[in-house]
Amino acid sequence: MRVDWAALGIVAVVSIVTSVIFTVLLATGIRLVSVAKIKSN
Amino acid sequence: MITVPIILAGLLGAIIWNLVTWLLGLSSSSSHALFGGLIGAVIVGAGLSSVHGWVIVSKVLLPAIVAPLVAGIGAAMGTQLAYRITRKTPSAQSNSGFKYGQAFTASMVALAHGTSDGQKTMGVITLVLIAANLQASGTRPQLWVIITAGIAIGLGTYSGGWRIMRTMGKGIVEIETPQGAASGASTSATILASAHLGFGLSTTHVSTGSILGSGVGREGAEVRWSVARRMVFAWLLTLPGAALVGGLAALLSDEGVAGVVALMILLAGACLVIYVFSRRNKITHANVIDSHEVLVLAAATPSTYADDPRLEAPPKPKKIKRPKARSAA
Repeated sequence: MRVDWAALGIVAVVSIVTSVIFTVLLATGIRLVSVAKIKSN
Repeated sequence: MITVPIILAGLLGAIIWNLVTWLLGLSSSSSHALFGGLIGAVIVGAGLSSVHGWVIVSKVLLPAIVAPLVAGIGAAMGTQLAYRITRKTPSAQSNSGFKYGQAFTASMVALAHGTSDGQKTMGVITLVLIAANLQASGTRPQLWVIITAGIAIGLGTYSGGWRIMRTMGKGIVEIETPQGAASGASTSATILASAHLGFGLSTTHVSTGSILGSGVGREGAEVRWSVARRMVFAWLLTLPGAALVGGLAALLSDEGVAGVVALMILLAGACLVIYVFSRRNKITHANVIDSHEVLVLAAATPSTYADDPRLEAPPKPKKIKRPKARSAA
């Protein structure tokens, strides 16, 4: 039996990319809401 | 041949190892304790040839090293970007937004936990049913097994999770809401991707890697590497430690019904002792963020209470009124 390096690589890339995209979208959303609130005031 | 007493012995190894590390506040992996307990019990009960060594290396040990690193890198990058993007946002608004994000990612971690650890619990119960000829081999877990596993995991987290929460939320690094959201996202993404490809990951290892990563990603955060080292040491010991307890239990379970009964009595006794020790330093929602340490006290004395604000104060001892000595007239 051999080690499935390809599967491990997929897990690594998918995990890092997904988590970074989610956090960036969340942070951008928070920033945009904040800017909108400041402008409306 | 894997029999019900062998599985019982393996579970005993896992349960005792889990409870001891829980008492110490170490977030040791229950998955690895389960693997270790079963491996030890199977080696003693059915022989070394019954253990598939390569499967353990490729599906358990290797992912156990790679996954926390991957989760840590994802959390570090996410945390750094989150702080950079919101650096001009008022902190109250930023915290409020990330709090919702953290609640969402924590729920995703719970879901991921179910896809990984929940399956292991259900797998063990189904294994017992198949070994006892109560279920056909190759069939799916029954509905009552799924519901029971879900309720048990939920109740366990609700009743005893505070000790681990203290270590994870305060012990390794003081977590702020952006870090919580980033580490939760990284943990859930890693576990969900791994579970889909059939790797036996530990939620504990991945969460710890993410939390460490979020500490590295935040400028000025103090990462307590000594706590992390202690934790990694517990991880390394988990598989052989649980295997040893499982193996010893398998020796006892080999003695027939008397052995199995003795095993159950031992398990109940060990649980009781650990519970009594845990009551000496209760950690609840009220004091979980007071300190970053989890103390295990051999004996709680009034002086211990006086020194440690984390402990509940005992009732004051009643003064014994002594009759005044009458002076000799």
